[in-house]
Amino acid sequence: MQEIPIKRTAAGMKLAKPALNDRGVLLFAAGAELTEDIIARLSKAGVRRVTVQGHPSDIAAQEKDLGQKIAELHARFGSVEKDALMRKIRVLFEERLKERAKEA
Amino acid sequence: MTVEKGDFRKRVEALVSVPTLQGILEKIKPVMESPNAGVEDIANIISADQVLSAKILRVVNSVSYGFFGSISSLRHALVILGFDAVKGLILSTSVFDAMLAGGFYGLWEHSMGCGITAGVIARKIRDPNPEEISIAALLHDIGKVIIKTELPAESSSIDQAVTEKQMSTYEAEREILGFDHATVGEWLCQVWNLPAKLADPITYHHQPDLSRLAQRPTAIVHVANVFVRAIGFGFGGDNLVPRISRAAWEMLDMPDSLVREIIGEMDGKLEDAEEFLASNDTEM
Repeated sequence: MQEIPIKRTAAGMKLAKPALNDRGVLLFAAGAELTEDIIARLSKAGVRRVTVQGHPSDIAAQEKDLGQKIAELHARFGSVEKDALMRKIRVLFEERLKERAKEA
Repeated sequence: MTVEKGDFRKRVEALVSVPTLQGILEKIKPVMESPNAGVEDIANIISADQVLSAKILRVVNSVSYGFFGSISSLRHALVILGFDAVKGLILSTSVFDAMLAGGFYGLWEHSMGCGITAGVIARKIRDPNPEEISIAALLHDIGKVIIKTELPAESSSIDQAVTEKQMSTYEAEREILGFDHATVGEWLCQVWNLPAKLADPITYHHQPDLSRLAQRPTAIVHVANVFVRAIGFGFGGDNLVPRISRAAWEMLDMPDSLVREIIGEMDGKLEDAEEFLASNDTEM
């Protein structure tokens, strides 16, 4: 088994240890198979690392696609986008995402 | 659910007199005040505590120079960083211990990310004290750790408000507690007698315009907190990017080309950090 950051998880992996939130409340039991929905829920609950079965870090290293990364960036900025300075900063971060996608 | 601010402040003040850390600071104080004291004397005192020295070196190497162990001894750390910064580091090791013990990995990553990013910004704008600013950034959310550990019931309500009302942790704290983590951080800085260059960025990272004694370091930590949230590294309690203070932004005077460089560099360094955090066990 391997402990990996939530960002490196992917649908299909199985939890080797239960996933708990900050307060130790059980969210998903050991053996649960991760889905996109479960990963999103863990992430939303502030869980940053989970222990999964096997050593899937190579599979886990597979990047999210660019469209998804850009959508998440927009969601994080949310309403502060109304501010011209914040919009400019978001555009600069978005440029970086696109640049990296091109490099890869 | 209300928390009486004065009572809670007293609790926080009592809490930070952690025996080992306070003991070390008390031992160092007379040495610091003696006119003939040198770095060697202070290094000797801290070095006597092996665990603490190892932790200090680990923190300083992770934020300042990547992860390749450039600062190899406490003496070296003291020469490069100065005593105030090392004092901040002693405090940050205890903060990280508390984060890991509490399972607050997301907050730990957010703090590390902010430390790294503040260092990148400080170097790019040629600030003379990038290490010190990194340490202030590492500590900026220290008040959140205290709120999470000391007020667990209120803390759950804060998390719930963040999720249900799409508000920031900072706003939820103000609504539920009547004060916020930056204020709790300010109390800690006062008990620890931290200099303004560390205390102001911790106290005013959400309101940089209020800093009087350390405006630039405060502006840098304020912007670093926004950038590390923008890039989506770690978890500071909510996933929202706060608005940057225009005055703070203008003070740093960064053309777009420089901001691009900063984003590129922080992205690379955070990726290294992520590998490091992922490959290592979480013991600090």
